[in-house]
Amino acid sequence: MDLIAFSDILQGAVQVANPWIVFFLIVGVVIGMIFGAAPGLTAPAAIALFLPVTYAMGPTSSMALLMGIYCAGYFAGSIPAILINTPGAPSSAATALDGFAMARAGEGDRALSTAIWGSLIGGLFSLLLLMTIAPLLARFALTFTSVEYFSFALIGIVCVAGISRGSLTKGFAAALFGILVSTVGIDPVSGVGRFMFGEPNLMGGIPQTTALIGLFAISQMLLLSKKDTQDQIVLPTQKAASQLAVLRDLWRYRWVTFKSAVIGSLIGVLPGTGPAIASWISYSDALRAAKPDDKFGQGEVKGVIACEVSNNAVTGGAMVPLLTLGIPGDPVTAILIGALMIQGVHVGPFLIQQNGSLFVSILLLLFLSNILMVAVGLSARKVAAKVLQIPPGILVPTICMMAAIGVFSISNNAFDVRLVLIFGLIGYLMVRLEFPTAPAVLGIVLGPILEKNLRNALTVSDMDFSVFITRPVSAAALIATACLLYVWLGPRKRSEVHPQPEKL
Amino acid sequence: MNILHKDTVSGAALLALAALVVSMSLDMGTGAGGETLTPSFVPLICAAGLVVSGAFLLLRGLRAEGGMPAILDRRIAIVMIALVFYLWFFHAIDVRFGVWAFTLATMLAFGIRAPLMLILYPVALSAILYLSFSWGFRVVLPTWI
Repeated sequence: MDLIAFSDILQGAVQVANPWIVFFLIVGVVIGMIFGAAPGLTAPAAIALFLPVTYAMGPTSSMALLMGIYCAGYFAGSIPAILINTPGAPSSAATALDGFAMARAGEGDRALSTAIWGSLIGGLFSLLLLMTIAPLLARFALTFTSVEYFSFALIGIVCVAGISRGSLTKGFAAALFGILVSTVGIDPVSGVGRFMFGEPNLMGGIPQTTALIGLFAISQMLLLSKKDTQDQIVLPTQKAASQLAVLRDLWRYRWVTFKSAVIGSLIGVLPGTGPAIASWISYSDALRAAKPDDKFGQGEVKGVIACEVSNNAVTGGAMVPLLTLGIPGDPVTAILIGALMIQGVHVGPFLIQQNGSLFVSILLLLFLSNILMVAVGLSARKVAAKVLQIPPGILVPTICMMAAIGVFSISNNAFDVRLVLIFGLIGYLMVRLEFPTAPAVLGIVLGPILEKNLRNALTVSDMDFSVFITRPVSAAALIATACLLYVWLGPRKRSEVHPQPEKL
Repeated sequence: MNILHKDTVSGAALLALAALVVSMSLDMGTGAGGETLTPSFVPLICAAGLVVSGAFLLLRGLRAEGGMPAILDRRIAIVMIALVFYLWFFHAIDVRFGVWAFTLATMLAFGIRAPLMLILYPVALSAILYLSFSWGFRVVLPTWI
């Protein structure tokens, strides 16, 4: 903070105190809640959609709107994940594992409240990180090369083993399918078209959002259409949760909370990652440290804490490389670069020096967004629970049509609507055949990161594969990967004998 | 030899996918990036993984008991057909009509018979989605008029 003058701090505070800024912040939080909660609509989609609106706004007001969407959108994905087992965003897929199980046991309100408070803790922790050790962390991340990024992405893929509770083989196959999907299109290095089947619309690859909407929203709606009740969401009456008890849970599991906040913040700092990876790694870490009586995957509150704390901890973490290096930490911050450029603000090492008051404003806006997220989240969770009372005959066409038009609106391309349909059918078949869809999602997200960094690392090292074990951080990551596999393969052998069907 | 077990079918599907990936990858060429991994490297690694997991599932399925779960029933078939038809021809159908027709068909398939609901909800959903996306977000949606 020594880079910032006291006058900048004052100026930043005065700008945020403007009633219009607070108004835009509230609007952003509400939009983020709606987009995050609606299956098929995501926080990045909301920010992309509202980016043109910021042309007519100043830097602080545009940041207020976008920060509100950012923080609330990341949290709100957990609402449908918990209540209807349809994550509103990929980062909430892990939340669905235990959150939905809790809702099935009548503890949906407790799961939602835990997600809200956990998100606040994650958000505030990462904000603290952004304020205090941002330059140091950014400098550390700057020393990473493609070798380290590949190893980190590999950890993400191996986490598939931890989340595929039913069958490791099927989880592995689903992850490979996801990676294959991510290779479709023109290869950016060689210029060769891969798996395009003569379709020019596939030259740019399969949009991640489209694939995720299909795999999650459409397939879930097709499952809802089934006549038998086995796959339908029939939840008991939900017990109202005491907020004090929820806070006590967070205190009781403070070690999980703290570790998840640290993981989320650090994952956020790494460029090209995002909340999806953070939540899976935190979940897997919580799973690794599970006690014999913990019931992960069957309604364990620690599962919700791990996912929600870490995915919101990404918000502040991802801002670190954005504001200090000009490198986006996740898809949303990639869009935020555009928003700042619209305002004539160039992100990079000089941003804090040249726009000290804006940096302070962003910190304050992140703080206020997190507070508002709790206020809106706690007051709206009862309304969100009403989603359960909507008959499937109403819910299915509504979500299907919202997803279709939402996908079309992102790129104005009807081909993407066909893609969402195809992925919806694939997702449906996967669930019917007891393949988890979450590893496929992880594969789609991590595939490009894996391939790009593997290629870069090998090119720089003259195709010497030993580079992955001679660099200490990469070696440590690979050892961690091996340890995770060792830990998971033991219990997996037993669960392969009696595989448990799962939704995600 | 249980050839209809879900794992047998899954394994066979994975092997077929792996075969398709291998056959397409072998024709890919190397392109401009000759000094690094070929564009077919990652797909072939994935195909190898799919072969291993597919073979494992196939063998496990052949030895297992039980059959395939029912994939379709009447209701899901109706919803699926309506969805496939509308989304495939999305660009050619007026979004207001398409949303209305799909919603009505789905509601009927779910057994909703309240006349007021059948009249009002499809119209309301169609109007809300059209207005919010075309006016609110300024998206040019497919329309006939």
